[in-house]
This record gives sequence, structure tokens and C-alpha cells, in this order.
Amino acid sequence: MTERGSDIFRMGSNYEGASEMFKTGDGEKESKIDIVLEREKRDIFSDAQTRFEKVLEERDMEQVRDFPGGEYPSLDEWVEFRVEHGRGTNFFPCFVRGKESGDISFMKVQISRSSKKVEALQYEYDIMTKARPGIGEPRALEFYQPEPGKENELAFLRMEAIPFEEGRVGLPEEWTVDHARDASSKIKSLENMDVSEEVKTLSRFDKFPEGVEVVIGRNLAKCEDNLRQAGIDVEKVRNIVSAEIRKVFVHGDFNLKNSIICKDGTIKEVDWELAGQGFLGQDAGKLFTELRTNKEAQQVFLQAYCYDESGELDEERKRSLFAGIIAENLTHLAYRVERLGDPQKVKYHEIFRKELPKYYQAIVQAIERFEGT
Amino acid sequence: MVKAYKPVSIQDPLTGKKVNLSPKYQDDLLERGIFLGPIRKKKTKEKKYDRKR
Repeated sequence: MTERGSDIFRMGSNYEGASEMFKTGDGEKESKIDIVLEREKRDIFSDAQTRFEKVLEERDMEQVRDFPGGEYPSLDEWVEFRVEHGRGTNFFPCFVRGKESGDISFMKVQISRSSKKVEALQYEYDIMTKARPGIGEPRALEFYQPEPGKENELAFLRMEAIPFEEGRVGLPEEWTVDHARDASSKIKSLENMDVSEEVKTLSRFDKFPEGVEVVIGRNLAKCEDNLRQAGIDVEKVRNIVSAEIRKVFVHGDFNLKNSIICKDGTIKEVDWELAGQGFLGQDAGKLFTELRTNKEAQQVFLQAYCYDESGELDEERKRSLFAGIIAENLTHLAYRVERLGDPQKVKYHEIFRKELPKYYQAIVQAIERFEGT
Repeated sequence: MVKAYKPVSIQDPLTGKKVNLSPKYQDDLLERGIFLGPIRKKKTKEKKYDRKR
């Protein structure tokens, strides 16, 4: 289940289900679904497959279906798989090959009628090509939006594909200290970026138009009673998160699923659609939280982020990191606390109640580490 | 029902061992633009040498 809403930092999908990663078999499926009805509910073009084929034909390209030992789904097959497994269908991801060049690239293809989905693709392309994070992310190659009169086509974003032999998405335990150090270095690099005025005027750039402190404060207010009942000193939490926090460029969804851990010890970051102006410590706080079961990588990350190259403690980064960790956990808590009070969400209540302690624990540990660092 | 993904056994880039990738994980990798086969690089143009007749 993804967490969305105005008080959520648009942090994208929560990293759960890590244990699924290398399991064989098909995983859980929803009970029998009317695929046509589901496609309509998700506002997917009924002729998306045909439109996609037209897009490829006009560019003398083909979808790459085969790879050694396996097979990628067609657009219609992928939609069916996603619907069966309760997954989102924002864009059709696929690999395409130029018939003449043989070059393989990655495409995110519009399949929904929603103009917002096309805007998201355009925004991701603009961020990658105009802000140019330059931290080893794949290159964006092309964005296409059908002109008026070409309504039977689809918009798409095409970018460099990443070979599996370079790296993959990993479990927290698979992160090495090198990956943790590289992630810290790259997050700091993003935070230090000078962004052009052109990028600042992009409509999705400012992630906190109301103000960072307002959003964090609102989440804290939602969770205050629960935190007190859990024995947490709310004033200590408030002390860490209420100081003014500098706005910086962020990836916006720096979780484990968007981080490719490479065999050379570096990481590559993908999925830049939530990048923009966030707050110092935002990306670091999210990643630190997600590495919770790998204490060694967490510690190395913390050291690398909070101390500069000469070994001096950076007080601003230290406070911001812990504010980011607490803010991240408050986001998850607030989402669940709200729904625990919603009788229409009763089927999730038991799951949410079981999840609350890990967020309390993360906040307690963040306070202890902040005071001890 | 259409079967979208085949079970795949592949060498893991991090450990070098053969691992089985579940359909859900294949889907995760696809979503992030990670390709499970070789990506052919564009061939550079070969130099043409003058042949002495």
C-alpha cells in the first residue's frame, strides 16, 4: 500500500516486502478480477497495446521481450500482472531496441488518460536534463508527448537501461559500508547543488509550498497522543524537528527500491519524479530509516553524513539528519494513526497496530543518537 | 490467465551465485530500468583502409 496525501512528503512507496525479493514462485494474487473493469477503473486506454505498437513502429523500434532464460511481458500482459498483484499501473515500463542500431534503452510509457501522468513524465525528464543531478543516475534520452492530431499515440520517457550485471536493487543486509558511504556522498552532493532559476520555476519543484515546518508540525500533532502513550518525550521530538531547516535539492524518494547497489561499491539512483526542493536531511533520513536492519551500514552512513572530510562534526547536518529520520517516521505513523481512526479502513487496523512499535522505536533511537552524537 | 513472467535463474551481480528471481522481483527490476540481458553497445564505425591494388 502506498502512502499519499498532502501531509505525506510525497515520499513514494514504502519499502516493504523485502523478503519477497528472491523468492521463487508467483507470490500472492488477488482473487479473480475482471481485468476490463479494472483497466477502466485505472483509466487505462483500452487500446494501449495498439497505441504502443504504433509509437514503436514510427520510430523503427521494437520492444525487447526476450533475454537469456526469461521473457518480458507485453503491455497488456504487464497490466494484467500488475492488477492481479495489486500493484500500481502509472506507466508501462519496458525495454526497446532500435532496429537499425540495436541499442537497448528503457521506456516509461503513458498508458492512462490522465494528463497528470504525462506531466509527471515530463517533469522527470526536465529534472534529469535541466537540474542534472550528476550522481551516476541513468541518462534521460528523450521525452515525447503526442501533438494535437496524434491522439492515438502515447507519451513516453526514454532513458538509459541499467544492465543487471552492474548491480541491482538490494535488501538492507546486502548494503555494504561502501554503498552506505557512497550514498552519503551522493546525497550531500545533491544537497549542495546550485539549481538554475529555470528548474526552480518547474511546477512540481517545491515539495513543501506550505513550509517544511508546517508539514512536520502537522504530522507531529496527529501522532502526539500516540507518542505519549508509547512513553516518548514529545518535547524532545519537537526540539529536534522544530528548528529552522534549510531547503535543498532532494531526490525525494531515496529508498532502497530506488537505489541500485552496484558490484563496484557505488550506488545509482533511479526514479527522479519526486525530486525537487525538499529539506536538508530529508533524503538522508529516509535512507537511514530504511537501513534499519543493517546496523553497520546505518552507522557508517551516519558518520559519513554528519562528519566532514576533516572529521569535524557538521552540527547543521547532524540536526537535519535526525529531523529527517523523525520526520520520515512521523509520516508513516501519522498515515497509520489516521487510518486506525477510520472505520472504513478496519481491514488494515491489525496490520497497522503491529507496525506502530517499529516507528516508535526508530524515533526513540533517533532521539538517543541525536543526544549522544 | 496470461503468464507474464517466466521463472528465471540468473547470476547475481553482487555475489556471483546463481539465484532464482521471482516474478515480482523481475517486475521490480523492470520498473527501475534494470535489464536482465546484455545491452549491446553501438558499434563504432570501422576504419576503412585504402587497399593498394
